[in-house]
Amino acid sequence: MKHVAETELALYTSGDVSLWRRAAVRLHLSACDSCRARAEEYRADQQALRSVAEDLPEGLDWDALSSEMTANIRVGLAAGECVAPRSLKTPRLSWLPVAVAAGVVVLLAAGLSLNLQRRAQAPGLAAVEDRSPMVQVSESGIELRANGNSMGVSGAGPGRPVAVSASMQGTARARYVDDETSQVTITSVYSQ
Amino acid sequence: MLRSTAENPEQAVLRSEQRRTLEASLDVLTERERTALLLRDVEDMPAEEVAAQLNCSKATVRSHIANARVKVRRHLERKRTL
Repeated sequence: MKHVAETELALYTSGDVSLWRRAAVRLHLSACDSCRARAEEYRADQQALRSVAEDLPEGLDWDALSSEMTANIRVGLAAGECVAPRSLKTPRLSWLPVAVAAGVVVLLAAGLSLNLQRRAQAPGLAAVEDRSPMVQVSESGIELRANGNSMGVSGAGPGRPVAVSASMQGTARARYVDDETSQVTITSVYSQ
Repeated sequence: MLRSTAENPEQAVLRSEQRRTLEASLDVLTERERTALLLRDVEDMPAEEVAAQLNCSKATVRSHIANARVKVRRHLERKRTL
């Protein structure tokens, strides 16, 4: 005959087993003297414990006592966690943030590289100035500079220029008057 | 529980001895086992409420109570054989 487990027998006496197990244990106890005697002992222990508790001072606040005991248990558990050896865990990096960070770095590097290349290819201010047409009128004549090249009319007039005009479209015009002959010479230079 | 006030000295000594033995048996329990046992057997608190008090499951409370009763019983039997 298979006897009832000791722990189940200890719970049976206070009705702390399931309905189905209670019926099974009751059936077993009806046929097993030793288990029945054991169950009676557990029942007697519970009665004795209640009896001892009744000897305690009147008005004992069991709620406060149980709360205090519970608090002590929690303090004990917390203390146990404090003194327990902790395994040193290395921080584990998830692949997603690492991949995003790597992507951002690659984009920044590509952007910086393109920017540097564009700057290297972009003409400087002097080059722009060189390429833009420029007309200069002086006593010696009219000079046109564009794209690093220059051309001009030297000695455009026999005298001093009496009137010089220039337009933003790259046109320069100078009017010379010969003092001796009063001949007027107009020189125009156009840049394209 | 009502007790006879006409307890003779021998009964009083036996009762005192029984109480000391029982209290000593509670000392062999863990804090949680002792709390669960006292709340269940002395306070007659249902296992569900004991579980709420101890902030654990009902199954854990049953385990604590069963272990406590078995330990107390074995302690009492050891004392009896001495």
